[in-house]
Amino acid sequence: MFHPIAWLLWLGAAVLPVMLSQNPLYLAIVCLAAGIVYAVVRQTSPLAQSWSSFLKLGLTLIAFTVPLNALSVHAGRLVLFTLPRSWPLVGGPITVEAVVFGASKALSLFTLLLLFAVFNCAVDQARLLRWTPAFLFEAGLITSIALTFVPQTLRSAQEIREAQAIRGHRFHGVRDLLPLFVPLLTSGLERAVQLAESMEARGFGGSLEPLNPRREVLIKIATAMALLGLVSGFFTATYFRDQQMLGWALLALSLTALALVFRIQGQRVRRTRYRHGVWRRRDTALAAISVGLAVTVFLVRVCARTALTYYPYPPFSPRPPFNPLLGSVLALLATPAVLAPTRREQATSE
Amino acid sequence: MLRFAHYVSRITHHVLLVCGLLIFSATPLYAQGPHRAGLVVQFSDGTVVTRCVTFAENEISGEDVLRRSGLTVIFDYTSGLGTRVCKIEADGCDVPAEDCWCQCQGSPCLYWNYFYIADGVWRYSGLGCGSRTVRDGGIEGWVWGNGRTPPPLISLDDICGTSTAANTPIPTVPAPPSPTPLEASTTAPPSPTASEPGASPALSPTALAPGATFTPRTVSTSGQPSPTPPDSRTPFNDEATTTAPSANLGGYAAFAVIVLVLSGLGLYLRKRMS
Repeated sequence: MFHPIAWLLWLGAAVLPVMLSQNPLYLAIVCLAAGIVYAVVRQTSPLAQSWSSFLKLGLTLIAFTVPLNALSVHAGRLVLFTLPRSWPLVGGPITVEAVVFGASKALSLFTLLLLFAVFNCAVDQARLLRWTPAFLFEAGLITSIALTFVPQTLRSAQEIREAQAIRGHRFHGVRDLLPLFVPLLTSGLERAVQLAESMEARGFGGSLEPLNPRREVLIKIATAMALLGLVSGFFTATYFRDQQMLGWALLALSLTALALVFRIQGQRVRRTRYRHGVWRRRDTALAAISVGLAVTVFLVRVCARTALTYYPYPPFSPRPPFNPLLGSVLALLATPAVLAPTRREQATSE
Repeated sequence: MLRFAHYVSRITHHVLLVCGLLIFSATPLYAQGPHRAGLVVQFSDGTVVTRCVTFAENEISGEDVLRRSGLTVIFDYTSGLGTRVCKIEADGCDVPAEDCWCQCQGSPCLYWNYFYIADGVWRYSGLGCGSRTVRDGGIEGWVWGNGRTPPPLISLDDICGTSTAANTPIPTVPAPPSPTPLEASTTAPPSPTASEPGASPALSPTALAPGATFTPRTVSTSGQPSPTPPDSRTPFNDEATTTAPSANLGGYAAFAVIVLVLSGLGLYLRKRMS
């Protein structure tokens, strides 16, 4: 539908306001936009079934969060009813403010779930993993193997189960599972050996440029030093307030060093591509809108922080503030649903 | 068999008795007249302000003491697990705009430290103000600092005094050496109708302005116990809130329009897809 990178940018732009704002009105707009995109995306996704049940589970989250906040926070002017004060923890006035704030927290959690459901349904993991940087190619390979391993195992478990059932085996207790596990284990091992052989046949590991051991050790030491500098720089910048400049300088220095080391390591890997991802015009449009939206939200956060925050308890009003301009910008998150090709277009393009 | 039944009935009887005792002790007894609690607040410039809080209940929380004191306090309830005190009068952090511990994100860590008096000495409270219970005669202390220095030791009689002992300087606090000691304003007992915290006579702005002319500690006492009801029972007042409702109305209309447009888009796309 869209390029994985465009989807990644959209996800970043959508998660940013959810993480930065507690305002239920903005959250509702993001949630609605994400819901529209999800309705479009799920029609072509094989994962839609499992994510739909997961989202239903997420709805029960609201049933926990709202009463918990209402019972534990006894602040606010709009009192619904009062529980006896002698009751531990829950005793005291139950207020509208606490209910509203609990609902807004629950909404933000559910919106996050929805956003990741959209992303997982829309993006093919294998296509995304192709974009792992060159120096990390081993990790990307392991992840892609692991991702294919789970559905394969589930499928073979189903097959073994059916085969055993045909032979008259019945699965009742734990002991009956042995005829399921032993073939599952052997078939898994078989598959692993097969995969290793096929990888070797395709020349896996041969693409690395040879490196003399001395340089290799140097690169390892440099990586460790840069990571250490990263951590200590970050700590200095955030913990010691009077030495922030030193911390930021250390951070920038170690980041540069890390990028350099990764570049050297990445140059050793030569990559060939069998399938090239196509970047269409609609990918450009989605990426541009996402980046613009993220920048807008970030600027609002930096310049006028109170525009995003929401605090219903006194001395503030429980009515959330709303800026129509910011709200319309957030509504742009529904862009993927609008730009997505219809089924007929998809059928003709493939 | 009969004997066994007898034992069972006896045990049940005992259990019931114990339960009854527990319930009896858990429910508050008669409120025996107004109880008093003292509040000592030390600001960043060293100013110490005391308040006398009266309450009819047997015990209230430390949060209630602050709420009923008439001081402007900003609490943070966003965690849902307890109450944090972010700002008292001018000292502290404005909560929705900044973090509740905005001055405690590194090595110089300043926040509102919570103390209480037990056995004649200040102790740092291990509990939050929402969980700690205050009984008659309890003294609560709040210091804007790093948690190491408690407020000056003051007895309950010095805070609440007798009804005539208003406006007397407190002997335990070092007396201001300047010839014209700036007294913070003393609170007259607010009328029961003036229940809004902002409506009760609060501190005079000169006493709290940081970097004001006075350096010595000034002490204000509210002599008479003020029968301020908890503000949770006060009616909701729109004028006191920060956002005007009329300004919000247009925003809500815009929100409704955006939601309608998005819903229409969703319905249209659904039609197009099927």
